[in-house]
Amino acid sequence: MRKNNAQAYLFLSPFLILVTLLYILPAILTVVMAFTGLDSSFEWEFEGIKNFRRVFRDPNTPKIIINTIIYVATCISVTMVVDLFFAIMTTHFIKTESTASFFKGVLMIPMITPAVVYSVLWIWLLSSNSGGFLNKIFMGITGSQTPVNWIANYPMQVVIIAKIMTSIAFGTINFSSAIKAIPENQFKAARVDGAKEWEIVKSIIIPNLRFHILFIALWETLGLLTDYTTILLITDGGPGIASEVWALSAYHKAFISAKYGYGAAISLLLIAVVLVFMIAISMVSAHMERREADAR
Amino acid sequence: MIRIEKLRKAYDSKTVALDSIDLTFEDSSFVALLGPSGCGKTTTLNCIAGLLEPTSGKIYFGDKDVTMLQPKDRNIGMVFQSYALYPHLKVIDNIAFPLKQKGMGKEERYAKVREIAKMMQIEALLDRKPGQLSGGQQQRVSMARALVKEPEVLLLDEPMSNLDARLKIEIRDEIRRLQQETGITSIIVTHDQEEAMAIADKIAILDNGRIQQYDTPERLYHYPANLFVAKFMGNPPMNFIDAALTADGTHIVGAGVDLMVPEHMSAGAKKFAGKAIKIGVRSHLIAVETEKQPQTMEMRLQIVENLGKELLVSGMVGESFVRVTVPESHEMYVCYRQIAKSDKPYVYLRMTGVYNIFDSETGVNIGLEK
Repeated sequence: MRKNNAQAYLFLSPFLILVTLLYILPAILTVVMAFTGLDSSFEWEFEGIKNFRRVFRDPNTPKIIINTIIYVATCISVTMVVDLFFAIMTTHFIKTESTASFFKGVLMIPMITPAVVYSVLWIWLLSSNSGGFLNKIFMGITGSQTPVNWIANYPMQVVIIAKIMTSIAFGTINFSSAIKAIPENQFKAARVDGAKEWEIVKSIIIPNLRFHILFIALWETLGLLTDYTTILLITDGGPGIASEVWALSAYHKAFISAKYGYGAAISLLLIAVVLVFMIAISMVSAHMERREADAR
Repeated sequence: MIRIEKLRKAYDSKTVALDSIDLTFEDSSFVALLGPSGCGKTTTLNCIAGLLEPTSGKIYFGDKDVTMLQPKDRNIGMVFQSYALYPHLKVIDNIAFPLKQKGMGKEERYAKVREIAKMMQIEALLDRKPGQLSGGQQQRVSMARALVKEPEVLLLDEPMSNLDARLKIEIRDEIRRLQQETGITSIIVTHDQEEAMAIADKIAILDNGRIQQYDTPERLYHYPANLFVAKFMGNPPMNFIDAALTADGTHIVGAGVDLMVPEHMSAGAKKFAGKAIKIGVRSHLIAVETEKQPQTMEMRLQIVENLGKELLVSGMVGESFVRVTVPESHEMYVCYRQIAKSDKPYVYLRMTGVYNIFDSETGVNIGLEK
């Protein structure tokens, strides 16, 4: 037994060393860095909680927090509703496997498109000059001669819509397989018991999916909090800080202003929030596993 | 009364699940649809429930044509093999679910649920979730849910298949008791012939999407319409002995067999005169003689076993393997064993009760032919 363990560790050791070097070390470095005034001169000068004080004193911080909350809350609620809608439509109502797969395939396209290509597409769609796709339609319909600068005028709306489009596939496919796992007899029983289709969705599908919904919601929230690629590529947080979110501001401070210590401090605050979500996720998934074990 | 007329369900031109089924269910009767898996029994039930749309044919509840009605408009209760309880609802809300769909108020609903729970002896479980119940308890809850709306028909889809042997009998008796108390027309689907025999007033045996026989359990057991039914009904299974009818149709002859065709079979025997047949006889309706006598079949004795309450004597009549059970007796046990070991291991079988003869080619019961 012990010999086997030793062997297992031997086989794992290259991986463990890599994990330590690439995952754990940077995490520790981030924590350390947050308490230093590290900048482009790369001098590790310990400054205590000065960085954190600066974060809270920064006049932009409230706006960024509000932006982050709006961004995450809107994206997550719309995504969940749309996810459920598509999952129920493609799994419960469209019984033809090939049609349902086609729809799911279409939903996957934004997810598998490289973020850069996808963002360029949005920039073209919403371009401020009269050659932009949306402007052509807008000017054609209203007869207006002045093109609208969509991205500058509605930065939050644009990034939220763009982000939602890329998020739908993941939840939809997850919910869809969860719906398939509901025993067919529950639907039959409900039909015999007199339930109408909406009632079946409300009383059978949604309750059966409640842990999946919770899990995906937490998971997507985590992604929304930490991933800023879409915003970076479409508005870069602008105009001004109109669409700046917390994670993006960490990037801006660290890489654009080269204030690595300050950026690390912002990240660390985010990590504290993220940790709460991660603990919640692991609790939900542990509960799901227990429930599945019970079902068996 | 429920009537099924020329019911047909085809998934495509090659897969025909039901091939023109006609059945009538009398009011307050308990009917079993029995057959091997894939015979079409569940398809029939789902068509009656409205969960499947038949390709053609009609279903009537009383005088009302319900063929195209949704399940919710048919006033049926249904019990499933896997219970199909709603896992997130408490037992009380599971049972109340059909009433809620009818728009009944909460208090009235719960009062009704308590009433039926009392009848089913599950009052103590009302506040639990289905996951906290045993299989037998879950099945009781699902019965209560099916009965609470006082349906016109109760449909049971293999309700006992997930239960262990002892519980099976308990629930079986419970279902029978409830059916008799409520007088509700009930249809049960099962592949267990013993279960069907015990519970049903009438049994429809299906195979390959066709009804093989629709009759009382006693008739099915003693007078199966064809070889399929004969093989399906009864445990231990019926013995089949290859033989032939004489050219005048008055005698059954074969290797070691010489029987006179009994009076009630003579009409059919004349029709099938000269044909190869199979004699079908139950193992307890045969007596064993040690000396050759007229009207017997010669059996080469192979195995003699003492089963406690009876002796199982088996061997070959011609090319057919036959089992006979006779009352336990130590003397006879020793005697048969000696015969089996001797160089003339023959005993003679005499029919003591009902037996049937089947046409080897088509499988029909010749004795039932008029």
